[in-house]
Amino acid sequence: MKGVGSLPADREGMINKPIVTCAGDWNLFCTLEAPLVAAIPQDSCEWRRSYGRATKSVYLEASFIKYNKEKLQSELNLLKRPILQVYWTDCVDIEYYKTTLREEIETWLKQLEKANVTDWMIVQVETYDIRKANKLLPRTTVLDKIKGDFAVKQNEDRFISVINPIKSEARSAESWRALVAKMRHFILVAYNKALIKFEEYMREQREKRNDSDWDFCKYFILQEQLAFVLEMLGLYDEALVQYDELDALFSQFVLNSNIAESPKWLDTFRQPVSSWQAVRLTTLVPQHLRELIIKKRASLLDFRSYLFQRQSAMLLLTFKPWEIASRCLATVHNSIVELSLLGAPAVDGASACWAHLACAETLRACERLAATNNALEMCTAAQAPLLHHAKDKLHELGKLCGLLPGSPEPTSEQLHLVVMLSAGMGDSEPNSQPPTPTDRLKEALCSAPSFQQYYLELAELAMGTYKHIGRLRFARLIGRELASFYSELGETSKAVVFLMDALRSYEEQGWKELAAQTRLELVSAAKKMKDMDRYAKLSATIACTQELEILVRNFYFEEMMRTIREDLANKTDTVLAELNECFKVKSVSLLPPERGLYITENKVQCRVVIESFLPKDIKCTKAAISIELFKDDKVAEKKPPVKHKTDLSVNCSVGIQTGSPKRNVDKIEDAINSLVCSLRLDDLKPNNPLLNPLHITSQLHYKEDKSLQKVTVECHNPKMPLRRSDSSKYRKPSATIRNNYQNCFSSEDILLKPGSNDLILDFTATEKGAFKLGQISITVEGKLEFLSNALIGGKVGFEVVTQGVNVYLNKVEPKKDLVAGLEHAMELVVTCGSTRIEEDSKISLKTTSGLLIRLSDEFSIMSREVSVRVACEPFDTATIPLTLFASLQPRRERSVEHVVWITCPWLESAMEVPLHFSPPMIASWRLLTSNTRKFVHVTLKSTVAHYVQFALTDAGLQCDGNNTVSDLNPKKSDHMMVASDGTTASFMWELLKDPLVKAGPMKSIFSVQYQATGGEEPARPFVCPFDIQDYTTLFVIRTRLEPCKGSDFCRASQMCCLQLNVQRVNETEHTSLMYEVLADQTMWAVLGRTAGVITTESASADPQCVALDVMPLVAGYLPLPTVRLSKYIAANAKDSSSHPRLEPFSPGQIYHAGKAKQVHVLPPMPKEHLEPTAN
Amino acid sequence: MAVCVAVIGKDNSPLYIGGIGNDTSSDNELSRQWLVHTALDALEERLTTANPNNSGTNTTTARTDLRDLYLGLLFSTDTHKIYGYVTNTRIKLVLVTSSTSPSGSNIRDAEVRTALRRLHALYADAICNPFHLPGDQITSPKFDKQVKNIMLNNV
Repeated sequence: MKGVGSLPADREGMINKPIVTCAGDWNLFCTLEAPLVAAIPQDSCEWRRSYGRATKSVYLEASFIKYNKEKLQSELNLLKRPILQVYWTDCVDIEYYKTTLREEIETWLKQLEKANVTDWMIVQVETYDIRKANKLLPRTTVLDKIKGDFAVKQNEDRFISVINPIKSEARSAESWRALVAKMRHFILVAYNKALIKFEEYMREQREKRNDSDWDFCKYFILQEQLAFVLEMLGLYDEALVQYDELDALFSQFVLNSNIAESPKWLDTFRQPVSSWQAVRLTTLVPQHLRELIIKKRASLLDFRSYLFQRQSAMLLLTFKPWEIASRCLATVHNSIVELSLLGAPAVDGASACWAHLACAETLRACERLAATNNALEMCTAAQAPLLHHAKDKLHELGKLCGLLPGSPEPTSEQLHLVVMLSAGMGDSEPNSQPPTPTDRLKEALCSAPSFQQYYLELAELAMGTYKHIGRLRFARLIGRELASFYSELGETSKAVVFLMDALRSYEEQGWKELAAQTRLELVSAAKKMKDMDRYAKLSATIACTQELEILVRNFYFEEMMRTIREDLANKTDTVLAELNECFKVKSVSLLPPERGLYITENKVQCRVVIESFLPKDIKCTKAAISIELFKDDKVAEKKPPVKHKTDLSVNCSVGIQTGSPKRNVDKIEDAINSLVCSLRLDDLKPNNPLLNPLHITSQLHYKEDKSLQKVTVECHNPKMPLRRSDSSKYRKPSATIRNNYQNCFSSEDILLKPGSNDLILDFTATEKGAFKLGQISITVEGKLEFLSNALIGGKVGFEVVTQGVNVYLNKVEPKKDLVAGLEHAMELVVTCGSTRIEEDSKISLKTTSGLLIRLSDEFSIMSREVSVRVACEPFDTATIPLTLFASLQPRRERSVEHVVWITCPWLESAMEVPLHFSPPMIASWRLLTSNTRKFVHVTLKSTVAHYVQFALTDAGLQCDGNNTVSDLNPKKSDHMMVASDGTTASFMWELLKDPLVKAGPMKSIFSVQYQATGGEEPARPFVCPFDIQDYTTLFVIRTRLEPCKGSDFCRASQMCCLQLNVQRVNETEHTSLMYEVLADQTMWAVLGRTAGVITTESASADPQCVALDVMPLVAGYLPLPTVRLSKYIAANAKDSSSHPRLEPFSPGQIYHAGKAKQVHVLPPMPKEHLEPTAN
Repeated sequence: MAVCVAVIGKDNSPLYIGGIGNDTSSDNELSRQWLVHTALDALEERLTTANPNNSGTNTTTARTDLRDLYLGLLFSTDTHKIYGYVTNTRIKLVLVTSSTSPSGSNIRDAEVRTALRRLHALYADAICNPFHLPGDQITSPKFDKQVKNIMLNNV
């Protein structure tokens, strides 16, 4: 193996070498021994093995002894038995050979054969003779003779001739090398044979292991030989396998002994343990232990020590110190288990001593080896558990010997034990560097200070190493042990550091029971340190820890109460603690406000459901939730526009909120969006992404021929569900800071029961604005205050508004329109909101002209201004009835607009209330003409939206000047009605005009008395003025249709003659007239001109006649074509650019006499009449 | 066979810890929890060394077959042996045997492997419950009973 040459120091431990016997000329061999011993290990030899085992390259050594035929038989001892027999001779004389040598060789070979030995060699040493070499044909040599006599096919190569290197070094090199190689080869061949045989035997022995007289120790020594041989051949790993097999076999026996009957030999290992020396990790075979095993006087620890040392030796030789380290613990654990299984009597602490020393020695060996090599890193990983174990064992010893801090002075038994243990450890190795682990352990056991020093050293080192290799949990475990050690030492503050660190990690990873345990340790540390704040807090938390026994919890509950009463009583401030550790906020909800809004000076209530984990009832002296101003940038920036005017809808429900004009719809919406008024526990937890539905769809994939290829289920957004969840958990940044509780929901003196508690907390809002809930605080017994995280902050909130006085002017019957000219009942509604209106307050109302108002009592009179006294308690509503009347103006308007100004003492400016009135009825008139007579037709209708009916009386028409009218209406018109359902009323008068007087424009006034039916109001006049102009008839047009000449009737499709006659009936300056015949083209066809200009003499009244050719197109009674007469104004002759133009007459100036006339037109002449004449 | 079995979640918080056996002052449910808790260190160490990205020089000791979920013996103490198993979703199963009990000391690696495989199957069954939230503690009494059975089975 590779390591052999490079580690000469380690070779010292190897004491066994293959034994080669030398027969024949011993003196000759003695001259060759030194070069031979030196030459054999110089080169490696390939070792081919049977059973398909791997071929190994092996370095050999050999030791030579003189042949002794007595010793041939020791076949079973692989080590003591010669492996190769060599016969040496330097005989060159054939004669001598024939007489003596041959016989000797024969005897030797026979003896070998008898002993069944086939591994031999015969070496003839020649002296180089230059003369012989020059001879062409050498004579038969002695070797040839020997070969001839003894050789058979299989062993021809066992006869070797070598040139003596002592006598002629230069010439002998080649033959010498061949000899050494042969010798190596035959040694290996011999071993191969021997091992096969040996293994067979060994197996046989092993098979017998269940026999009653089988002995493990014997077998161990037997199999160990194999290990020795393998070690000798440099096959350390294979040697290790042998030891491991033995280890496993032994372990199995011990384990089985527990279940089945224990074999007799095992009693050997049940003998009292008297020595627990440290294992010595060298390559040397610990002979004294081996002797003990052979003599069956080895205790279990002796045996284990021996085995471990041998295994370690193999590992040292193969240079695997880390392997030793990792095996060490397993061995130690096994040994201690076996010790207890076998029940071998030992002094208390013996096994701990042994285990500690084994660990410490291993560590030392690792350090020694790793320091010179780069295996340090790999050793470190294995070292930490060793240190840990060494520390544990030291602790165990310390406990036994009364060396732990806080324990009383060691008793005499304990002192005696120290002596016993120190004796059992024996002395440390003489040639090793002090201080050895044995020295240190002895020293540590001597006195408590040195023990503590050693213990702390080991513990700190173990913890540091664990931290270095990343085993933080182990490090914390040691930290806890150190904490209890320090705590016993009285250095509680050091202990607390370790415990807090451990506690935090356990809490973070959800190991509740471990956290609870650590807390119990912390609480006792706090008590020792007289840190009563911490003690009270921890007691509370422990009392709430459900993982613990109820008795423990109750105890700490009482401790907490006692501490609060006795130790915290004289503190001014409360002790702050975490709410989450003792209580759970299950839900927080704001109770809905009574009036739909939270209003200042009013109580806002919040319901908190809180779960108490405390084991008993506790008095909560104050429960509070801090309130913070809710700041939302969006809302803050938005300055709500100031509104004093509110657009009124048609139905005139006036709504103006005085006092809070800044209330803004947007703001409320924003606040609602970001604030909720109730929160449950589930809302506080982050969403579990695993509960979200996966967006999975199935997909069909088709092949080119449209057959289905595959169906897949696809997740569209695989990143979301597959995303790594954040492994870093929520860590509380620092101690919770107490919020400002100046504004808070609060409630006092509540009894909190274990489990769910329903608390109602009150808060009286003084300011308006948006607020959110901040932090929950629960103060117990006045001194211990539990504060929640600001978890519920930012979400739960409410908005407080100042509800000011609202003044409305309402209709009593909101569905009815306001009608001018009728009295209307109205009411002034004042809602107080949160403010009080003093008794003397006056609201004054002013109206526009035409609108009158009064209080709706019998004494008040209508006026344009009224003032109202109002007194109102908060949240009350005062209603003052009013009557409103808009006077009717003699105007013809569709609607009447008015405004009421309301002036309130708490308002700076007056409120404007626009009112919209509609008139009760509308009058329209028409002028009717009959030749020169004139009639005036007046129609009344109502446009009020709701149903209203009026009775009309005393209708009259008055004209100015010298015009008179003749009343054509029925004299008894009491039951004339007009109503808004479409009922209209009509009146008619004839204008009586002096025909001699030239008629000028005329003003007339229509008046009528109306009274709403069903009402109690008096009849009121309705007046409508109108002007009449150009009503005198100037021209009368007459039209007549005459059949064409020769026929008596007008027939369709036959030419007729239309006679047009225009007669002036009154004086006029318009003499030039244009007529236009406007015929319906479906009935008439006008042939020739349809229009023309006629001139009437102003003096004569003779009619002007025009004849036109027209043709009726259809038969029947046809209306005559209408004729339009217009003023014709000729073009000014002086102004060339002017054109003649037409101006219409007023409707009353032209009377068309034939307007409604019809003419009978016969059908066209039948065709038969005409036929004979045609023929 | 086993004295304690633990199912530990991805975030190293315990999902289930079940133990049987007579409690003494040095060997009780709590002490076994410490064992399980510290075993996580060893377990994580195995998982990182098994990671091909940071293959150390001692790859021979690392898991040669990554598909093998069984991690073998994690560490041992005087009284206990702790075995580990990790599922593909990094759920860790830890089994603790007692070296002092006859059944525990004589246990073979293959038996532990089988037991842990069965435990894995049971765990999979338990979390198939549609009302179980992955990541929550396993409170199913059926699971508990079956796990206790595994622990006792080989006694």
